[in-house]
Amino acid sequence: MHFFQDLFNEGFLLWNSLILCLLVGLLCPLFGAFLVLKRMVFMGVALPHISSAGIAFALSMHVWYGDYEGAHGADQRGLAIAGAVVFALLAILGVAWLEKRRRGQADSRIGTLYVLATAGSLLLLSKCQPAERGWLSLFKGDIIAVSGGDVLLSGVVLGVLWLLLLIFRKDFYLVSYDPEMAASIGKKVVLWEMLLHVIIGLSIAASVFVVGPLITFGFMVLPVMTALTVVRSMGGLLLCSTVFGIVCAFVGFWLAYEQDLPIGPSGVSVAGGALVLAAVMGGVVRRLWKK
Amino acid sequence: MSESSTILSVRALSIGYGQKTLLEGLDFEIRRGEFVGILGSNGSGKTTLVRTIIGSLRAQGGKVEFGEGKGCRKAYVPQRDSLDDGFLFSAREVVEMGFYARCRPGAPLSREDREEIVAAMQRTGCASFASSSYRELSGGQKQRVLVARALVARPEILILDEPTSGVDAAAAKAIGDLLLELNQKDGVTILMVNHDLESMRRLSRRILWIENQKLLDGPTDSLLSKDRLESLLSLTFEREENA
Repeated sequence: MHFFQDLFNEGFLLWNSLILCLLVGLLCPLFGAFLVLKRMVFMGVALPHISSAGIAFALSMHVWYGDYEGAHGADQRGLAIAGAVVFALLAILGVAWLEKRRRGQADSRIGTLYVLATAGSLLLLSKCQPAERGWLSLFKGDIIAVSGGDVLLSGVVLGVLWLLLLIFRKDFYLVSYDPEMAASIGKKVVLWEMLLHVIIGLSIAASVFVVGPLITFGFMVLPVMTALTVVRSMGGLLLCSTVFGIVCAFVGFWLAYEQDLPIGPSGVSVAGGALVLAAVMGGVVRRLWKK
Repeated sequence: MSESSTILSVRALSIGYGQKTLLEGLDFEIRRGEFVGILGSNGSGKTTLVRTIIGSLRAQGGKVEFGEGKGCRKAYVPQRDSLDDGFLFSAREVVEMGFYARCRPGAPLSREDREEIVAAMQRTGCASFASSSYRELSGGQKQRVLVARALVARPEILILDEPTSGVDAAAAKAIGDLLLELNQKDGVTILMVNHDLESMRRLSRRILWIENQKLLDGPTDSLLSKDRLESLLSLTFEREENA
């Protein structure tokens, strides 16, 4: 039980990582619930990668001007945040606009964006090794060296977006569930949908910036899918997703610490295991109930 | 406002999807308190017309005006299969949505609001399954929930898209009776798309018939008379004595 002993030692160095994991586990499932309910899970896979391509793009910009050292410190972080936000917003608003105009097939479009974003990121950073190392560790979900400032920034941004989504959830439900009824009673459907997409896009960018695409997608979707196997109401879905998210994040961190594993993949695997377990147990309970 | 004032005015309206125009040059008015049916074959543009009227689809040309330019409270009852079963709403939560027309975004419901929801559900006969999951209800029950949702929006005009399609005869009659009551007792103007000629004959006083990209407008008795139907549908009716 090293973890629980070390946790309360003064010398415990991973408080920032642990808090970040719990924050992501707590907040991301709510954003993911809307992706799942709006049948945009594939978008949930692609968007974090597109957002991380924005980081790669921003970090490699200096190479185009012949500066192979690149920006440092605060400049680099500012560029990375801007890249993540701009790419995430452009992608989600662009895809939603094309969807509205019924142009082409949504899944092929998102699939293409996903693969191009990943390939593009690797190409962009291939000439800039320091940035490539940082980006690859973010890509893998390695979040050991995270600063208190980053935890605070992501906590505030994700927290504000989470509150907005929670406060206006019923309006978002209506425009997502029945846009025609919403239009008939005078709701500005396009505006509300755009606001929802902006909130999801910003939350993905804020999360990708600190924990990378793997953990972002994992905690946006897997706890929600797990909750869907056990609940039958919207309130239950939001509550259970959040509980599953935070529990899986904690257990994943604990396992990673004990077994010296990378934190991101460990948390996502625990969330995946919980989904499989819930699905199997749900199936067994349903069979017994029928008998 | 007089009972016979215009509640909906459609002028030179062109409707369609993208580049495709389904109907153009549509002109008609609906007066307060009318019960108007919209008929037409599949694909003739009935649903596109009501979606354009409620503002969910952009008109390709022309104008739709409610309450003589001053607007009015309206509510829409969609085809129930158009709603996504992925959402885990209870029947009550679906009815609650009708309130969002009247309350500020994010505002919680008051005690009076909740009582009004219960009253609307009792009136439409869906109070007994208020806590049930909406997606697990029968077709007729879902339709009652959607009408209750429209009621809490306190509409002056209620627009319905095939509210009785796919429900059994008893449920269809109950929904029809409820709409008649709303129209006759509460004075709610009703515009309803439907395929069922018999229920249209029973409920509506006026018909808008869309056929061959044209809109025929007339009293139900005249437009649904046997001679007129024969020419509209090119059908041969068997004589009653042979039935």
